[in-house]
Amino acid sequence: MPAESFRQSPASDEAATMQGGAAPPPADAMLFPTVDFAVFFVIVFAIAWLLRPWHLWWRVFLVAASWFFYGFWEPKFVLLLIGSTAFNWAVGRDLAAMRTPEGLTRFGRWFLGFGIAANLLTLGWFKYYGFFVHDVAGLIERFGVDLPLPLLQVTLPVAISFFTFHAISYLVDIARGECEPLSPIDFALYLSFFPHLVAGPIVRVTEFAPQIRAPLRERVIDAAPAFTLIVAGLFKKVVISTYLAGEIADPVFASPASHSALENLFGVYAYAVQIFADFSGYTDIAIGCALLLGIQFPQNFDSPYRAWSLQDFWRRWHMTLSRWLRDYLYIPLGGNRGPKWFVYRNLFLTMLLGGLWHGAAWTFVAWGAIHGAGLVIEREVRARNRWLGGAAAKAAGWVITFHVVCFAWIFFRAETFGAAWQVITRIATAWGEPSPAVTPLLVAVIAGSIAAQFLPKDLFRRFEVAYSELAPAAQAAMLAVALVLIDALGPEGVAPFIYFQF
Amino acid sequence: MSGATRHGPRQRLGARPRRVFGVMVGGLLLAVLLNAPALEQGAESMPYGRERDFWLAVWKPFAAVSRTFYLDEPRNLLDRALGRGGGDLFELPAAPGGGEEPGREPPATAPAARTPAPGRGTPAAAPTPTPDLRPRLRTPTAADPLRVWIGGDSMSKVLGEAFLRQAAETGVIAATHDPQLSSGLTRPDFFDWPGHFNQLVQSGRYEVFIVMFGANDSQGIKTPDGKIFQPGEEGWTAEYRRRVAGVMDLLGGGNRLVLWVGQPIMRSAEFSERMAALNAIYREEAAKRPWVQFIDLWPLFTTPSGGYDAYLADDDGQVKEMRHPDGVHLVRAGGERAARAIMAVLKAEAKIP
Repeated sequence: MPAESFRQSPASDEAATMQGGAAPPPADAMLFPTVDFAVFFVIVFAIAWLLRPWHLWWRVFLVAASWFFYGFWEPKFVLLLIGSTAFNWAVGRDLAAMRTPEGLTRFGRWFLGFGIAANLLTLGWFKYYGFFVHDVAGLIERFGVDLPLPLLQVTLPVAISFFTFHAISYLVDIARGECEPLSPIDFALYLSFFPHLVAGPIVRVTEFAPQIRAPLRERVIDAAPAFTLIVAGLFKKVVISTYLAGEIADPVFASPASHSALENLFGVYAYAVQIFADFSGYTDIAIGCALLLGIQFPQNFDSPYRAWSLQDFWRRWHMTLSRWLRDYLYIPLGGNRGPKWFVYRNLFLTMLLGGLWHGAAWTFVAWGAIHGAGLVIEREVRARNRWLGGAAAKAAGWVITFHVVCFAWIFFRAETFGAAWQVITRIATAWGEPSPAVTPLLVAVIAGSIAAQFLPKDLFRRFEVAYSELAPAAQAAMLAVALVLIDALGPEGVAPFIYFQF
Repeated sequence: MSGATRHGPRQRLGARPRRVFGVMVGGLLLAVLLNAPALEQGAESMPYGRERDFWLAVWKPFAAVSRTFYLDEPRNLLDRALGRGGGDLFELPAAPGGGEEPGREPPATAPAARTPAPGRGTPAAAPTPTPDLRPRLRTPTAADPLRVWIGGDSMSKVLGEAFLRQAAETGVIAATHDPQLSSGLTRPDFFDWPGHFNQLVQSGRYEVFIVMFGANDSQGIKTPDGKIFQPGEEGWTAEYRRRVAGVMDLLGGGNRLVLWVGQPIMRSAEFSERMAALNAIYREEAAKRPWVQFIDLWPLFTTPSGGYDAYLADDDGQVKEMRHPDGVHLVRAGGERAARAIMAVLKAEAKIP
């Protein structure tokens, strides 16, 4: 594998340094911004729409295509996906039999716990074993307990975090009586549908199932929004994200001490835009691809850097994850019911676990803790009626929110606490040093990316309407020009996708 | 750059699948035509072999049509505006001043004319090490730090980052990090290292060059007369050696020190073997040149029995994860370890306490 993995795709290289040696995206995965994926998608699109009248075959084909897509990277992990599908489908079917009008039977609750635990243990093995052996066992050893754990390097299967989320939400929704068990083929499609497989958005079974069960009424595709999403997503991911990472975010976080205060500050701003462009770009492509196949996904990002409070930010950032955390973690913990401090505890714990989900490192826990603490403080201020109204207060709220979010990103991006602390101290102390990395173009890209989030929504809508009214040849020409521009402005080779590691 | 638009109940911008398919395929075909030369170039930079042949066969007709109708011009203009593109010849700049003696100080004038060097084999005789060719580094100060360049392929990324951190700690070393992912000395068509090094040398900015190559180099190589050799063949070794020697000569002179970092052991036995063969070339060529020191990482990353392990005892006795799960790259602790070895040599050379 090693020599061959060094195709002209740097995918295996950069991710290694992205998060202190988290699992890299595979060098030969079928990433969205590749020729391989374009060919794959065109073929799948044609066959899927030809098969659409034959409802069963249409679904069988989409499952097969999704497994092929996943197996393209590492065939053996398709077995994991199939195993997870079979297991969760069976648990879901049996859970449904344990429901009573009052809820689950006592055994049913145990059984649900078993199903969730099995999913989490699988995820835990792949994702947290190393973290446990390195960090947690070390802590335990300090108390004199020696855990003889082998040091293993476990390869993290791409997408496992996301299909674990889908599986758990399916089981809980059945237990709550919100949905009925799906047929094996429907469930297989729900869990492994390739547009959302790798990095979301996290789709609810209640959103997805009706769309694949519905008999075909009209063969109409929301093409203009789909193309707009795909092209904008590619631009964000391939051009903006890569430029900012290479230009300043990566160098600054690699060695904060070699950079001035201004460079460190802009390194953090750049990372804030980079992770948004990278991640929202990828999910926009996913939403667009699904739309072309006639499936609507929920929105995943809604101009998060417009937010004027942290609560507002979490309604706009990775919305399907926030929703998942709310419904399957926050509410089971007790949610908003109970004494104030109990509610604050739930909020804080939810964000802490949300942080840990992003990666097996204490820095991610710190990221979650900052957001958890920020949300609690915000609620307390509101509860005491200290929340000011008016435009000036909103503007101040925006500045504070953006900087709290950026502050948290420092911990998210830094490989160690030491490195995070170094970025912070450099920003505080190293003023007046030359800052060659902060160029006018860089500042313009960062400022422009944030300003673009304030654009009115109907601007995009108007563009989509205008695009949909063009002749097909003009539509194709615009698509081609956009693709060539993105390719020319992008890097040579495909940069890795940050969220593969989560 | 707003997020996704909401697809709620609203006027639908529907189109029939057949029409959408037409737009999609038409758009992609047109994009391919406009982009054909770039796609062809991408295929050309793949490792020599069947997959490369397949993609080249796919893109060739498109590229031909594209060139015939000048459809590639907009992309060419864009590339020129962005300063991209390059050839596939490993062109070593003519020795500055026509000097036969590598190591002689190049005149600080305009960049030397770059001529292809067909048939320039290895130097017939190794230059005799003479004391005056051995660089003597000055002892740097905080006001006038030692100017060091560190780079190479993706292996030099984590290594360089660690080196930068350690350089910042000394307070007297100003390091520039310049890793080019997926690059190497085998495929100048992917990244033109000789040209890049030539510019760096001509800039006169650096006193020390720390380079690391090899992880991407064990693939087919093209000689100046167009022959392609595979690793392990005699022709391959001769051509690769010529390039290593050329780069060492190019970087030397002007009292510059070159630290050539070897490859560590790899997880795959077969890949390790190939890297050991490259290390032998680096070591031999460095030994012929007083201004080059070979830094051997191999023993730093082996177990006591000489094998590979991702987890090794570090200098402080702690067992740490040194290697990436891919079995090739270093992770942070490994990078720190390798950088310490380089720093020790550099500190001794520049008499930095």
